[in-house]
Amino acid sequence: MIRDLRYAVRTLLKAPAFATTAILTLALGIGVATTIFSAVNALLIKPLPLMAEQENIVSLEHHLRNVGEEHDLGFDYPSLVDARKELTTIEGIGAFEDTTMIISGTEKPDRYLGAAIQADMFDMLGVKPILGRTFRLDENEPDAPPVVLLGYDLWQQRYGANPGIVGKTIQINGLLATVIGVMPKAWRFPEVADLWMPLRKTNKETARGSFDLEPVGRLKRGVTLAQANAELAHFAALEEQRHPDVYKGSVFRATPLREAYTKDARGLTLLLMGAVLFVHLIACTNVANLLLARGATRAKEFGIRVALGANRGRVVRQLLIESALLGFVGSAGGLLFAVWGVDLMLSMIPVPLPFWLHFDLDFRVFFFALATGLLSSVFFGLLPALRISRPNLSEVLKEGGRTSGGGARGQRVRDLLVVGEVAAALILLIGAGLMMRSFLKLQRAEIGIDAKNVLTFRVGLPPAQYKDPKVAAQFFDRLIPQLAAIPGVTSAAAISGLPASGTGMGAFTLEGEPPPKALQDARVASMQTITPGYLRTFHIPLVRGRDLTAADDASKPLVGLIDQRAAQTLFPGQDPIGRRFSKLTPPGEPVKMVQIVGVVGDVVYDRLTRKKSRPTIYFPESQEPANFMSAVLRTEGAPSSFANLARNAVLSVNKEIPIYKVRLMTEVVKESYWDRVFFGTLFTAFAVLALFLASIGLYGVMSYSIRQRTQEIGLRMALGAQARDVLSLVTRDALRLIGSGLVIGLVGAFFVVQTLRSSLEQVSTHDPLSFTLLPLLLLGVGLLACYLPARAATQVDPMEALRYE
Amino acid sequence: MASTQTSPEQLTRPPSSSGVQTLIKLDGVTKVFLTDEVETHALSGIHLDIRTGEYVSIAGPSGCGKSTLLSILGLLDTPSDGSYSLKGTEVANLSFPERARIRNREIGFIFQSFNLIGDLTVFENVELPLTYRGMAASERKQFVGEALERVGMGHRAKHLPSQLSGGQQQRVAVARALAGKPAILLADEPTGNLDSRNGEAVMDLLKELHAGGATICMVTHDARFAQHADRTIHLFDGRVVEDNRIAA
Repeated sequence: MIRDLRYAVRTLLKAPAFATTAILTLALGIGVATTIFSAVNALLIKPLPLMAEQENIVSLEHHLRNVGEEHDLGFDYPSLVDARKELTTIEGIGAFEDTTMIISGTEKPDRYLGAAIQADMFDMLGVKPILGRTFRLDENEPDAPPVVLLGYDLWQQRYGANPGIVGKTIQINGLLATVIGVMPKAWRFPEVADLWMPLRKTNKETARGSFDLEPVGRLKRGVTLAQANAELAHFAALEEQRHPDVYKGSVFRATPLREAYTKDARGLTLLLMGAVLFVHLIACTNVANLLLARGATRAKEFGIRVALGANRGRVVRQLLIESALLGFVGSAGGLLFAVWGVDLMLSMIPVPLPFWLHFDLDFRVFFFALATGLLSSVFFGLLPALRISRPNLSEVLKEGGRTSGGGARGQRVRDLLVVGEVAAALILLIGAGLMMRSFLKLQRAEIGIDAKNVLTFRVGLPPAQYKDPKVAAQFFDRLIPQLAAIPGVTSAAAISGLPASGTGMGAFTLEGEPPPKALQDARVASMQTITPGYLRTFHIPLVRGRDLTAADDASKPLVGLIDQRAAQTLFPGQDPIGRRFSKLTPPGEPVKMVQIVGVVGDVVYDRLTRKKSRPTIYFPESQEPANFMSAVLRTEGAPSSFANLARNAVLSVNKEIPIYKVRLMTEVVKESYWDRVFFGTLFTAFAVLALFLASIGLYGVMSYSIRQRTQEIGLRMALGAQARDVLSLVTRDALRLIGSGLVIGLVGAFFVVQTLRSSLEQVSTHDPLSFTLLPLLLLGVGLLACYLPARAATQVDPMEALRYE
Repeated sequence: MASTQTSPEQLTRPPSSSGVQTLIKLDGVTKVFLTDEVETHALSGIHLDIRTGEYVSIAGPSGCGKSTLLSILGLLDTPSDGSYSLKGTEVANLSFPERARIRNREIGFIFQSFNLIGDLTVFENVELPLTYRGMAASERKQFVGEALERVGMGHRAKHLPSQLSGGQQQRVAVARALAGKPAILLADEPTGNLDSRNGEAVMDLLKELHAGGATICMVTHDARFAQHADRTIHLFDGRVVEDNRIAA
């Protein structure tokens, strides 16, 4: 074996062009496969950090049958309490809410992402603090003294890793809270939290139907997921029986935590893995072709070995060791490509990654690269090895015998491989084409606003400081004129949830309608709180009636605007102005009628990739105050240059309120479909790589075939064939290969792209443009790849060729 | 078709009788090549016995079937019909691996174009058939050393074939053929690629080996070299047309 290995090293060193081409090709294939495997590893394989016995941790979801399973409503607080009390298969059920936490009391207030979390959740998750303790159950009580747990990075950066911070008080959201501990590095549960406080629900928030909690629990020892879900089905029936107005049609379900975390990205990531395996397959096919061609040139050597008594296994072993060596070095190169690939991939993600998602090149990724390299090189080396190991001895050994061997059958195998490459490349190209078309449609999507020259940022008023909604309203009443007064700002306003960011759903009934018997039967709309000037800032047209003004304050009758879609669906053929509706309120709360005073143009508030045709209702901020609003500023110059002025304006109203999520509105829109851009770009990059590799494969096969036919071509030319005749002869062969690949690829693509269906927006999986243009593109590139060898064929010197014969 | 009950494994055993015995026996061997639906009869009913210790040359015009006959004798090819017995064992229809094993142990090849592997040193080239036998490294070293010394190439063991002259390369090829102590040496135009001086030297070497007891079967079209053998067989159109033994 060592001897074979030594010989393999020597052989490859003596054929540097072959070795470099094969290793680079393999490294490219392994590199892209390893890059995407690092994502698959991070998403689906690597254990979640710090959680003990994590296979038993489940996320509890709540759906309404009418709304659909893809929309997890979350639990309301009472159903969470019921679940904690009644479920016997799941223990330690806790919930959390993402929340903004502002640390003040120093020169500059800073806003952090935090989580309000059930006191015993850290124990359930099995994570321990590195300093101090976690929460006690009594600290969940609304009147308990405020306590806070710090994240490791926050502790390091803001408090200089001072262990004495435990026991000290810091000001968070206007409250003095005692630091009780520091959590370990890399712990930012649920996603990117920097600090945690106990979850304390107010009476209003604990009403049934206020679904805003995302519970997590742990399967009891010996309990299966199916048993837990069976109990949750029973629990749903009980809840429906006890409170049919809220839970009719409710489905409660437990999902393993990792599955819940990864459900959005899982499908596309696996598709991407499939795509890169296609690329790798094409790369391997090229290497197999190279090995076949090289094997043919080494036919004599192996003929001698076999003549001297080497059995087939011995020859195959020798050749496979050479292939494995290529695979090993290719794996090392692939890992280097992957290091660069992972960095590139991360640079394409514009949102912060959750704490559990790390695209490291860990031992699994390393093993994957090595195994892929070795297995694929051995597998693809096997066919050439089997062919070479059984030479026609009397033919290859005789003087003047063919040293290039392979014959018609060898050429057929090479042809078949290249047809496969073209087919695989076409499938990838069509898949990528569909994704790009979908992404371009999203990019051009009309969302009903003029996003250019608009700066946005978020302002959050801590509920502890701004308990009274009137005070919150006053804050924005003071802020907006200050923002509008900044020189260069032509218009300013605020809204509870920006367009294209997927926020603010609510249920309502029209005046005169009986209230819905169950929540799932209620009318739903995107509900937004806005300040006067919002329509003007985003250039949203007022179609009928009037805009909301500063005069629509809390002392006046409640008013609202609806969009055209609402007007058409709720009041078809009627004038909606003056009609009234009420928001669905928890039982016991008074019903407040809102009068429609205007109809405005449609605006998309859902993320563009999850667009639903829902109506939108706007309320004036002074009548429906919100603690968290996004300010929008239309500017004359570059919007980003107004960020500091805007920050100062906010601080001038309240020096403890920082602004965050400072972005151009155009960026906000782009972020709403970043995942499609991300996956579309990667698919396209891999398809281009596949196209390149397939072209190289075609080039190689055609060059080899022409070399084999030098005498034939020479003879034809000696007999009077012109260059164009030779060109046509070679092109016919190329067309036969490319054409066969295209036909197989088209049939394959027809079925394979069905897997992309759920990821495409406004593009059919059988999009005629993609199915027409992309095969033509591949045909063009393929013919171009064949042009050089074809041209070389026309330059064959008949005398030389015949002398060689 | 004739056959015996002897197993192929018996071929590796040394001859049991002390006197001259038949090493190779061909009975009605034919070889037909089928190309593009045209049958070409390369050999037609060859009957041939070669005894242990004989030096046989096969001569004949180009295309008469000399090389085909040698390929069949060397188990590089199989006959279309007829029987081939080597050391009393029928070998005409053995499997590929069995033929490889017998080639390795019983037959030493010397080719016109030397057929040395360019990436291997002289030592490694000579060692090659022994490695396929699973022989221990120390034993291999001894066998290779002896073979190289016998052809006078011991001092070139570390050289690559490209660093040797044609005559030297053929000497190495002879050493490779000898190294495994085969039952017969098959030489296919061993001087065909050599000048007359080197050709003579190689022929002298073969003569010397024969004098030492080696069985040699050589294909040549050169009448001068054919005379070195103690038996000359003439082929024409795939048939033996003359079989002359030179009296000792």
